[in-house]
Amino acid sequence: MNGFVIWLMILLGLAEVMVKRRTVAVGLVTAQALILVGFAISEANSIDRLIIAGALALRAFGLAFLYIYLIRRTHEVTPVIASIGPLSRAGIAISLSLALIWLFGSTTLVTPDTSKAVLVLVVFGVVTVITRRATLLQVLGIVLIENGLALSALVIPGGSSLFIEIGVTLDLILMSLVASAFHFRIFSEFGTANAGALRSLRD
Amino acid sequence: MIFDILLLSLAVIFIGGGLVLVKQLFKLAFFVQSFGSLLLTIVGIFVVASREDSGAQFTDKFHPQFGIDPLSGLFLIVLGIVAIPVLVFSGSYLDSDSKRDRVIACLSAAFIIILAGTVCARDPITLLGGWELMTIIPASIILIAHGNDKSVRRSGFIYVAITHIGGVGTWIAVILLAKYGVMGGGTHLHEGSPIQIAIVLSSLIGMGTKAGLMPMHVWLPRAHPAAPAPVSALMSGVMINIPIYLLIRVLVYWCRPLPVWVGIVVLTLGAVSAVGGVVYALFERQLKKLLALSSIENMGIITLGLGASLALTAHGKNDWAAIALAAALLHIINHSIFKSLLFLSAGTFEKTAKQLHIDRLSGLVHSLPVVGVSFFIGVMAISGLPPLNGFISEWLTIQSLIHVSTYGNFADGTIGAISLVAMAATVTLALFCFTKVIGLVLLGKEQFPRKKESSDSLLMGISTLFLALLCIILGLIPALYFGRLMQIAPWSSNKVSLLVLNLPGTGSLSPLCLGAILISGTFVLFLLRSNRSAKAAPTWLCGQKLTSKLYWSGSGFTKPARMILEPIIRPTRKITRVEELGITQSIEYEGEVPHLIESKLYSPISTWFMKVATIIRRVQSGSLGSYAAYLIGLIFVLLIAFRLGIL
Amino acid sequence: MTDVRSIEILAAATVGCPILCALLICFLSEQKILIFSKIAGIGTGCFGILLSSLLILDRRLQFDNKWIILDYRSAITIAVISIIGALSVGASFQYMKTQKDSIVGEHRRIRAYYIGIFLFWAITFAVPMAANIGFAWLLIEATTAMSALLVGFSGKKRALEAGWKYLILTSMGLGVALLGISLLASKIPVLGLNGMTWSAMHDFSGSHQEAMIIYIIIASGLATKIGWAPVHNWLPDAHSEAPPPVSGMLSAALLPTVLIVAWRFEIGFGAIIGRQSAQRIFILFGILSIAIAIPFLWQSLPWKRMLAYSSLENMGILALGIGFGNPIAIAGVVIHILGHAIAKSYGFYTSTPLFRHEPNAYRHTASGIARSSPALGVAMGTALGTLAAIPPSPLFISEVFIVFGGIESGHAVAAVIAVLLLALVFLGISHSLIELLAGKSFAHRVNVRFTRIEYLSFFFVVIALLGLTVVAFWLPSSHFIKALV
Repeated sequence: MNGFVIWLMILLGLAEVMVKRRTVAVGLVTAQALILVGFAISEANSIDRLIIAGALALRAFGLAFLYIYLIRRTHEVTPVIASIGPLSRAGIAISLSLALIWLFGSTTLVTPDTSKAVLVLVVFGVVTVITRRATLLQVLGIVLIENGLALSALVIPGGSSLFIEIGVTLDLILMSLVASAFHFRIFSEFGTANAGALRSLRD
Repeated sequence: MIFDILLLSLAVIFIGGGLVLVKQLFKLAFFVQSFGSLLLTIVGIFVVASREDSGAQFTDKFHPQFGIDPLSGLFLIVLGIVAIPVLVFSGSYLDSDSKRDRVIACLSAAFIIILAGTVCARDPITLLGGWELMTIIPASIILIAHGNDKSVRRSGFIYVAITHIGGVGTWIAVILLAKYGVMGGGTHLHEGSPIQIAIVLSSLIGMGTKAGLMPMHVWLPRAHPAAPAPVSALMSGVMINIPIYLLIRVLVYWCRPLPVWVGIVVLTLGAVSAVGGVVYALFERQLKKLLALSSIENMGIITLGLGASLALTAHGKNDWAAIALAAALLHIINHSIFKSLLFLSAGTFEKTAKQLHIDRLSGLVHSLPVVGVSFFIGVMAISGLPPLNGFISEWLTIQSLIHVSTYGNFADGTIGAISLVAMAATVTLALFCFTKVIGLVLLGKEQFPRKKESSDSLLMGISTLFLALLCIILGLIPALYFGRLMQIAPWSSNKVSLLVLNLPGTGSLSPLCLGAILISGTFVLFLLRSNRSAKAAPTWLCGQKLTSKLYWSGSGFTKPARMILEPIIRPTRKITRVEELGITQSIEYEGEVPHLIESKLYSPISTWFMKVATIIRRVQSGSLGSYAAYLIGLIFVLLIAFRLGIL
Repeated sequence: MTDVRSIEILAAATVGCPILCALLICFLSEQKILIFSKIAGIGTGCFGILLSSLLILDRRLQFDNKWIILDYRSAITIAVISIIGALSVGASFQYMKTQKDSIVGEHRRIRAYYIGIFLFWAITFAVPMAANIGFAWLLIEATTAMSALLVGFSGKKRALEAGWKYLILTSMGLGVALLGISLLASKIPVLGLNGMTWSAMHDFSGSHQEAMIIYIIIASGLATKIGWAPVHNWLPDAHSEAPPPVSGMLSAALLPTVLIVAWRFEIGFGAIIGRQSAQRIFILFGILSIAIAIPFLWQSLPWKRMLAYSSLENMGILALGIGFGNPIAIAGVVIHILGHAIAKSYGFYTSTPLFRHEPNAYRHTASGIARSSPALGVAMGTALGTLAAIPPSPLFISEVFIVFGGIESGHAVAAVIAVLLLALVFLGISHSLIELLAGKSFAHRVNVRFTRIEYLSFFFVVIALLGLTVVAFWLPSSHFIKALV
């Protein structure tokens, strides 16, 4: 896997952390997924690989449509603003991922670059969940984590399991569907799809 | 065979405990239970007398096992002999029409079975199980009886909480004993080895808490008065002895030989509890609470005996160690008898007077002659007056303490001497305290009209009288059984002779002669008394009709002691003068002797803990973002810990 | 060989039966669903019990291939899942009749609920049988999605909040766990994801240090789903806001199921990085979870929320037991899993009559229940008393076993800390117990009379718990435990 693709993935992830509009965020994770599709096809050596690419593409488009549909159905009167500004978010994300890479030391997947990229994407996803309040963006944070993991699954030696890959795809779709059901209900109950409003359960 | 009888007696109590739930069989059920308790006593007496073990031996395995040996037998005697009158008493004290009282009666049967089970438990898990239930069952009785009262709920909680926290010590001790094979008798620990010290210290904390030793006693004066009288009697008379039983097992049987300092620690605990208990009892105004505080005092005296025994064994004085241990055991028996007598009497007083504030009780000996006289005998016994049983065990304890200070080195000798002083002070203050009780509660003007004799009050009278007679008999013939008590010690010692308590190197005491002299002397004094009575005269002639306001009050009577002890006990008082138009209408006086350990030690700790808890609860902030951050934080902390080589 | 085949079929049937039931429910009418679900619940439960008892009784039936693993660990978990599943489906009947709120429309309410619970049950059954690590992960993630819907089923604001937090946090945690799993897969070079079974972890080719880092990542990720502190935060919310039968399943069946998966990881990594190091992480999580639960249990909490925090504590105890890892501690763990499952789920079920009795109990501490409704009070008291480990509760014995195991395995400090923490936990629970039974009662309450089936279930629970106590004494020396260590 060449460095350009990896950096592209990381930059898209960083943009995801910083972005303001939900639509753009959906576009970014979809773009990441499409890069993965491209990567899977370019290195395809068996029919399994092609099926995996198909599954990834299906999930990329399927989720994109689902999210866009959600955004259109739940129009926020006032946009849900993150608690921390975009630059600080990027700062936190980058410093956390650098720290984690350092802590991991020599523990790597096949190539050090991919391994670091996976770590960075996972951290970016977690930071998105931590810092964003819009419910959809929190789901996108998890999609970001899964994109990173899909990347790692593609480069694992010994071949990734078709069964598992399709399973992960289905799982992500299932999780997104459940999340959208919640998103709708939260929007209709609270009048805004803002996870910051969900603070009545505490001790 | 004897073990089968034990099982039979427990089965009888069990059946009685079940029958008690049936309204029509209520009274009968209690007689069934007291029959079971009688069997229990007989089993105990037989085992102590024959010195034969029966049933299983102690094991380290986690399988329920039961058995009896003389030490367990002795505590079975204590249990049985208290349970018989308590059960007879309950039959008339509790109300068969009230569902609540029937449940209480059922639970007290369970309580007796659990107490017996704990004493006979031969494996770690039954022991711990019995230990827990021994706390929980009386707590639930207290809650069933008076749970609608918020302060009682609070007392119940404090009781459960403190004994449970202290119980950690018992858990650790028992588990360590099982782990290192000490309980099963396979291994002997080396003197002063870390495991031995860990076991000793944790059992002192765990069992000391449950025995109500100071400073771990704060639950006791709250819990015991809150229970119905028969249950209070079982708690004070039997339950708090069980930890002493375990302490004897651990210190005297399993962990021998112990370093001298263990004896010193035990002596100190005993001395503090004895003096502390009696001082607070002295200033207490609620009768049952006073009795509970006096239980702390008596546990202190027992612990002094135990400590003396430990210190003397460490110096190889086996004869005197056996005497000291037997003195402690004897005081356990005696205390359980007179304390249950006093609690049962307090129960009847409460029924008659509807309250137990000692300043508002008076002349009860006129209202309740039988119970009153029994109470009087019980009070004499607890004050250590000859020729009653309390005197014997206290005298023996004092003798043992003298020998600790004689045989000991500098450290334990000094502590022995101090304990001796403490013991003497305790006996004196106890006499002072109970003189107050007698004067205020029994004597004075009859306030509560005497009721017609009913079968209920007859049964109550019989049960208290039974205990009072025991106080007298045990006081007169201690030498008959004292030798058996000495043989309970796991080392051999010379027996003391019959009828006269002949102690090596001290001389002897003949309780029978002493009793005869005292009784005849009192009789002579009674004959010689003159017939004086005060006549009422007008106020200006310095005479006045006695009204209840002119009687001694508890605080007035104890004022000298309070003034002497002021620097230590820090009494508080508040005098409010209510004035109207420059004329004093009335003066209100509120005085209190605060329990310093509670206010200076326990309250700050619990406040601090609650504060910390409030801070920790902020973890659950309700914000999803912070929860997600904990995950990343966790990963970082673990990885850093790993990098630093901690994990 | 034929035996092994038939046990495979039985395993497939155990998972398949609830799926089939869910399918059937799609086509039945509302009234019939209520009746059918009871029979289906008992039937499925019987399949599971049969499977687990066969596995326990005849060791030769156990097997392990590329996709399915059936060993003692699976057997215990399947037993718990079947019992709790059947009880929860049974308890749902009462819940469905009394509560009308739902996330879906009124006319689809019953159908959606039962489809959800049966599917959730099926997936939970499959988790302990999964031999492929990736597959196991997949199933765990699927349980999250299914159960999140059930958590938010009532559609109330608080339930939505709880469901949302549960969904996001556990998905994120499992994402982290998957990171660890793919790192692990990359270090088992020959096989790839396809052959990454539990036994394949022996072929780990990385260094000791790499193994430890991967283990930390996987453990932290799974901790989120198990509900170990400090990543337990969704647990009290989800377990308290879900419908009572679902809370029962989440707390009593799902948590131990995921715990078993974590246990398999512990054993696998133990072979690589050394048993001591692997166990240390568990002990750490155990101590931390018990400790964190204390301050929350010290305050007055609504009934279900208190039970949820007690789950946190109990997961901590289980972690400790597995961390101590010697026969007696493991025996304690087995008893604790079973005893906790029965008592905790029963505690949750009693909240249905509790809400009937005292509608305010949803938000406020339950107090004085034994005063206003003795039967209900006794039932709730039994559940809580068992959880407080008051003898003869099986949890009392399991706690003694675990502490003893800790001292015996050389973790004396951890064991002593655990005893202290358990005593502090007991303070909180005993306070709640006292208030629950004897506390202040209110006039507006009506005495809830138990139906015959409710009495029957109460006696079943009591007998099951006492039976467990008796079995507990025999357990430490059995072959069963030796195979688990």
